[in-house]
This record gives sequence, structure tokens and C-alpha cells, in this order.
Amino acid sequence: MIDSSDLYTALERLAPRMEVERDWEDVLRRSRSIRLRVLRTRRPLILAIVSIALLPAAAFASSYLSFSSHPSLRVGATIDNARLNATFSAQPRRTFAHIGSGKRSFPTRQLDWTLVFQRSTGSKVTAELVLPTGRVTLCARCKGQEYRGAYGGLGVWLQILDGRGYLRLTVDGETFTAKVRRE
Amino acid sequence: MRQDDMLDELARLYEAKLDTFVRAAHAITRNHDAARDAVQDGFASAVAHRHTFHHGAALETWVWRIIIRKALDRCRQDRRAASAETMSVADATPLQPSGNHGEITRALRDLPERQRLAVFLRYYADLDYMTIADVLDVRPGTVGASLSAARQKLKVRLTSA
Repeated sequence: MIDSSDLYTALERLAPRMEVERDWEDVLRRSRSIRLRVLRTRRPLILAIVSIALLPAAAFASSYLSFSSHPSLRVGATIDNARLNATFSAQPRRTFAHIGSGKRSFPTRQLDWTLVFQRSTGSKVTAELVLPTGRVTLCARCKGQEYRGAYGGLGVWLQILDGRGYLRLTVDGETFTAKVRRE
Repeated sequence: MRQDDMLDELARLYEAKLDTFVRAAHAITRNHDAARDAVQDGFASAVAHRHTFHHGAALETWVWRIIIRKALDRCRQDRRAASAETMSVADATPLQPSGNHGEITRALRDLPERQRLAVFLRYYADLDYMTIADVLDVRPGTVGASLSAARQKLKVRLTSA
């Protein structure tokens, strides 16, 4: 039969009581090497994550991904009469992204416009882009040959493409209008 | 608890209970040097990963869990090495059991791992059932059942011896 004293004695014999020398410095040394080992294990993982994060930047740098103006979307209007000849044209800015060999179109709100006067009587001229939502002054008291500018708003584009945008020139109180159309 | 405070706590625990930790690890590994190494490794691991300690738990229980795991790992490594050398770990231990106590010792070694660990933690570390349950990640009732089963097996083994 087993009794407690037998069990205790057996346990004493299995692992006898003894004074163990303390070495806390050894513990700290071992813990430092564990931390270094953990860092070494994690380093490749961190590098992989950073590489993945940098991939789009690298794509830009290698021109794999680039932006340019939409090659085909262009709108314009011309007013040509005895008093003047004015040509208005506009293009959306950076609506195309070249991703590798493919192209993706992204809507942008920027509209780059140009207004060129080829003939003018030297009179006082005001040029406006007229939309249902309001007017945009392209130039007031226009005396130069060419004016450039940018105007924002996706709504502007939608109105122009919907045929509701007009170029309006006012020459000495006389008004000339032309619809802005897709070219 | 701040990291520095916890380091101090671990150092205090090491100073106060190293003998008990090594003794329990010795019973698992059956080798004093391996036990000492497992305890040093266990404390080093606790220091290195002290930020992962949940402060609601008991620090000593957490350290026991780490050290038991280290001792079991060490035991398995030694067993693999010993089998490669066609020498059993029991042969390597300086202990030479004989008579009734020797039979109990052999019977203890043959107990299933959970029962053996429960016996060691109860007798060497003097831990209560609740703490043993936390260390072994079982329910307190399982600890009582394991200890009871262990005693029963030892009794059967010795009666038939």
C-alpha cells in the first residue's frame, strides 16, 4: 500500500532539496539574447511590409504609373465675326492614368482652358463661360492675344458635356454667344 | 505595473523561490543541470516578454507556466538526444531507486504528464488547486481529479509490485 510518507520520500529522492546558486545577471544576459533573436526574426517581415508599401512609389518612379491629359476629351467654342475672332478650348487635367501598358480614366475636377484672340478691333471685350449654375469670367477688358486659366468642378464638366455651356463675348455692349461643344 | 517595477518583482521572485522552481523542474527533467538551465531560460523569457504579462493575473503563476514549459521542452530535447545515443534519460540520472521508494519513483515517472505535473506542483511548490489549475491551464476540478487519479495509479502499481 502507498502512504503519504512513501510518496514524500519518493518525491524527495526524485528531486532532492538543495540550495541553488543565484545568478540574476545570467538571466538578464539570456533575456537580451532572446530580444535580439526576436528582432532578427522580425526584420525580414518588416522589410517585406516596407517593400509592399513602397511598391506604388517605385511604380511611379519607373513611369509604370503616370498621369497625362485625356487625349480625346476636348471642348471648345469659336466666335468669328467682323469685329473679332476668338477661340475657346478646354481640356480636363490628368484624367488618364497609364498603368503599365494600360490606361485608366479617372474623373478630375480641374478644367484647363485657353482663350485665343486672332483678330480684335481693340475694343473693350469681356469673355465669360456661361453655365446654368453661373458665369465664369475668363477675362475682363481683354487686350491680350491669349488667356489661360483653370477652373474646378465636376459639375462644370457635366454641364458643358450636356450642351449647356456657352462662351459669351461682350464687345462694347454688344453680345456674341457660341455653344461650347465637344471637339 | 511599469516594466522596471516588473523587472524588480521578477528579481525578487527569483531570489525567493529559485530553489523551489529548480526542484520542480528537476522532477520533470530528471537532471539537476537541465533543470537549472530551464529555470534560467524561463526567467530570461519572462524578463524579455514581460510586456505581454496581463496585470490581472498572478506573476508567480505566469512564471511557473513558463518554467514548466521550458522544463518539458528540455526534457523532450534530452529524450531525443538520449534515444539517439541509445541511452535512456533515466539511466543518465544519478538517482538509483531501489525497494519500495524506487518503485514509487518509477511509478511517478510513468504517470501521464498532466498527473505528474499536478503532483510535482502540489508537493514541491506547495501550490493550491486554483494556482495549479492556472499553471496547467485546466479547471480546478481537473486538478483534484488528476491528483486523485495519480494517487490511485501509484497505489495500484505498488500493490501489484
